[in-house]
Amino acid sequence: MPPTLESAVYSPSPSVRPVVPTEAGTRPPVLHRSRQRVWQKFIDEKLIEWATNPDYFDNEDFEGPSPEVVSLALRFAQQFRDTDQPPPHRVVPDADGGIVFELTGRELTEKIHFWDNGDVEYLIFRAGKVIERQPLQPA
Amino acid sequence: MSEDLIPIEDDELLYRSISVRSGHYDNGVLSAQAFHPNSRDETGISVFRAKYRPMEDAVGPSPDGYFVAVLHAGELRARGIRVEPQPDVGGGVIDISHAELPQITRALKRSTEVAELGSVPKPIFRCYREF
Repeated sequence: MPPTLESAVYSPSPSVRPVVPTEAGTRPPVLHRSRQRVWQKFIDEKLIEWATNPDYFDNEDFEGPSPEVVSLALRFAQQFRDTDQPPPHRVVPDADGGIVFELTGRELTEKIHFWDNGDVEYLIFRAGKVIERQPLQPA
Repeated sequence: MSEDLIPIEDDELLYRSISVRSGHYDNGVLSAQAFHPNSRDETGISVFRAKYRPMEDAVGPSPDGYFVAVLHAGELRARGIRVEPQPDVGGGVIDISHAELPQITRALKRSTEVAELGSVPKPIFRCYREF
């Protein structure tokens, strides 16, 4: 079963339950730190970089994310980091003012899409088809 | 105008530039976001016809350079993605190398169809080289 980006604010479908092994309320500490490190890398090298360097996408042929969207994505990323969620494989601009967190598994691809207007959606793809799509709200 | 269009043959190759800075191509994996429409894509996302434009001229001014995804017109069509010539690039400029994927427009950017078209299985996209 592939990992999932599900968060404390999202009730996932049964098919995408987290794979984190837990026992008597404990978390695997090595995995936890590893996940946190990956989240922190995305936070530092992508989201904070974009937030502190508003000219970063000026020479691109698309519109980079606005400070508001970066701030929103940063809040989600910090929440995911702090709740031990599996990190994405990449954090990218969506080419029209938004941001996407992508996690690609063997069978499923999961995305959290921060749209340019501040909407947030969670999407699951199987073989290129959307099999689940729903809005997310910040906690 | 339409009678002046040069049809795109199924065996034509098409270029889609992907800036390194976008992160849409990384570690050998191409993100569907590379095919997400931007604010200028009112009638479809842009591609360039290899027979009319060298690959190195299919890129823009991004400071970190570009990858170019090479697409095969017939493979796109076989997977339900239309590709059409669009030589009118605005401002009175005609560029016969310019084409579009007209199903992927900004107006439809939040549609499930556009999300799925961008997620077409990756083997049809060949990230070719970096400029």
